Amino acid sequence: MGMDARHPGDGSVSKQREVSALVALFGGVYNNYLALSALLGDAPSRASEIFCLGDVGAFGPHPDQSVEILREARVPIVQGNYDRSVGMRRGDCACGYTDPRDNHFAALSYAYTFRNTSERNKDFLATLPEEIRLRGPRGERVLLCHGSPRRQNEFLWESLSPDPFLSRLLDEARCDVLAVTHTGIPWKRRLPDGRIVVNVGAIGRPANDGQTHVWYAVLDMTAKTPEAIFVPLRYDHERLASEMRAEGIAEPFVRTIETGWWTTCLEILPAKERARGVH
Amino acid sequence: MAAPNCPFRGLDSLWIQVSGLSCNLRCAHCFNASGPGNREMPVLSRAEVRTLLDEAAAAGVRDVVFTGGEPFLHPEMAEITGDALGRFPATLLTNGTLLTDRIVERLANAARYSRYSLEIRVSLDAPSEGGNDRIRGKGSYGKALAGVARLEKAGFLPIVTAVRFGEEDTPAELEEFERLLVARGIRRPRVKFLPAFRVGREKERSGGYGEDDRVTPEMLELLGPEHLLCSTARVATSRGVWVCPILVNEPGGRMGDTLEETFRPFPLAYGACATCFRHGAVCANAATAVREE
Repeated sequence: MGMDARHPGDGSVSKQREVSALVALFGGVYNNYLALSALLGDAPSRASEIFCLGDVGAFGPHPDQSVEILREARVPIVQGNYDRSVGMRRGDCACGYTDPRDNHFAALSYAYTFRNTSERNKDFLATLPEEIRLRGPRGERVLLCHGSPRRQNEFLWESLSPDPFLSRLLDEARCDVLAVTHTGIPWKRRLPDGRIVVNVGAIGRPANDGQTHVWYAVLDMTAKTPEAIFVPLRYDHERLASEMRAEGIAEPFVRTIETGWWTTCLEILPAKERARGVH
Repeated sequence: MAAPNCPFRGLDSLWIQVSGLSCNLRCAHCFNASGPGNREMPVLSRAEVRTLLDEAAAAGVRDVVFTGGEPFLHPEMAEITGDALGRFPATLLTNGTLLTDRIVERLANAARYSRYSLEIRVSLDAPSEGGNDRIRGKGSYGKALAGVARLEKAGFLPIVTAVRFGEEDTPAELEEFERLLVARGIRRPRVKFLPAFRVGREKERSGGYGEDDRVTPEMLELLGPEHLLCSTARVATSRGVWVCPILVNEPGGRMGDTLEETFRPFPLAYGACATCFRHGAVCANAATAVREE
């Protein structure tokens, strides 16, 4: 398999940052600063470096809190579509939804985050890179991005990502390990040639499985072939729900936090992922 | 004025005109004028479809969409769906009127054992029998809803797909469809609207496009090609490979004999391109691109 970092024409190799064998990856904070704090407490015992794959804002309470925590902890962040929109002072989140019902809730959430993010933090979000490239201990070429290597807001769902398609994405992006978020549901795939794709899920909302915990991933490159391990993360979701209500955030968003079942932005879900939920 | 070229960005979706233009219905707005007795494009055999799936895999395809005509006029449609689902996500575009218990059960088996999604879109053009049957033909409303109910019973979440003739969907229209489906026992109704394309039989109905209904280079520059189906899809038929499902009846829409030779830019020279440009990719369940201003 292509674990050799010396690829002809790949000028980005020299810019890749070398990392150790255990790397924690999370995305989709959605202003859930309580889960973020829990993650920063939990991940150092499992990994030596931590990266955020973007979308700091959304429907959780007090947007500036999460940005400040990430800045304070100096966590490298890949820019998500939310971060770009807020940073560029755009009128919408550019989430990539196509259904008016999904867009209705996306607009409510975006308006709240936009209104409650300081100008200083907006400027900060605008400066984030669209991708981060890492080099593993064996020369593994690791690409961290938000949606997909080709588009910040592309949804990579497990049931809509066949192996030939993922192989093409990895070929085009010249990587051996691809890590994304954006959909909010974690999954991973090992391609026949050993390369891996991992969607790290989101720490901002549960994974539409009736459980209140959220997920992040640890990329383990200690063995010859890299592996991704999903880590369930518990946090004070009841406190988050009560703070969301105090902020006047729409009730369906709060119910998702309390029940673990998605209530909004359901139309974008493919058949298999939708069928696993209850709404 | 020269039409702008839509670049080709790679094959995300392969559409397969599996039953040609043969259909058991004769809808007033059908953009490729499918209907009973239309023999312009013979059906593709299961072996021919398998060969196409191999070519699509080599191109790194993301999903396969089966259309027609009516796919379930094909005697091996359930088996073909299984062949596709073993390798890729698949979508079936059907009028729903031929979905027997036996076919639905076989589809459900294929879907259950695949790691990929099977989306089934059933066309219904109005939430009332009169409104629908005026466009789609007498009796089509009841049969399509029976098909939707069978799919629901087998565990599918079918997407009812309606052509809208106005510019925008209205929440009231959506609610009417949802109320209808809930009343028919569909617990989680999924409804999508598609624009009408003034080509095929709809050209006779609506008068077609004017000379000014075109995508200009400035329009393409402003919004980018990402949300146009022809930047990432092709349509395979028994009469060669075409740029998109809308232009399969348009001589200029045919791009070649094999899939690979159609992986090149296409001139957006047709009125239908303007509809696609304004309303986004046809039937795509995945998100269309949002480009920065």
